[in-house]
Amino acid sequence: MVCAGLETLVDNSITGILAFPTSCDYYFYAKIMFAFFIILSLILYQRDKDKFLKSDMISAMGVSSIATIFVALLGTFLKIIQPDIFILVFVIGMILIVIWLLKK
Amino acid sequence: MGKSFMDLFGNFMLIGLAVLSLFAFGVGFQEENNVENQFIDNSLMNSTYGNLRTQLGELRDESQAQKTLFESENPTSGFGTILLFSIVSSGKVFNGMIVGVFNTIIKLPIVFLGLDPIIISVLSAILILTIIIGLWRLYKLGG
Repeated sequence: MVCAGLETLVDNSITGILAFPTSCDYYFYAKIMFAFFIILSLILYQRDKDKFLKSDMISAMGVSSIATIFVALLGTFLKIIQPDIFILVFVIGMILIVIWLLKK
Repeated sequence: MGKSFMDLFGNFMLIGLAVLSLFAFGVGFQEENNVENQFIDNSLMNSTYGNLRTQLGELRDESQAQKTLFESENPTSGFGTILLFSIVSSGKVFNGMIVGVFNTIIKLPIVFLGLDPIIISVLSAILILTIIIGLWRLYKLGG
């Protein structure tokens, strides 16, 4: 994939710079959110494992999805996450929360 | 299958409340900060939010109506038990609420993630069977 260079950047504000990658890859922040979710889930899982000797991946994923939804919401405020990407994050997060609550 | 009807009902109402809270927080946050293109502008998100609010809002009135019905019934003694037919009415009303919340929430992954109808069909079958068995145990043993 060939993307435009930074010299084509028009909006020099923080928001403009943050939004720049989406001009090349529409799903850029969706991938960032996914990476954030995976990292947070594994951190929570490992922390629980060290603390309680027994850990639950579904709980870690449920808690991480709440955090991911909040971060994505912040992204919509900064105009770096489009509404359809937010809806995608919201729906996937909601499914994980439902599975987590049903398991409890 | 071992889940009691009460557990199932409690779980689904909590799920409805959790999803409603997420919606409410998101809508409130975007409205207060004047975000352009809010996610609630999407017609399906809007209708899901509205339906959840209506269903959970009706819960109080429905519960009160069932309580009144339960209190007004005169128990008759059966073989080693006491018969109360109002429990059947409670079962019917509250199982409708479980299915209502499930149907409202499941629409989102069907539309936005393109979930296969076969998966929905299997999940619905599991839920309905769990409800039927839970209700049967409730009618038979009272809990």
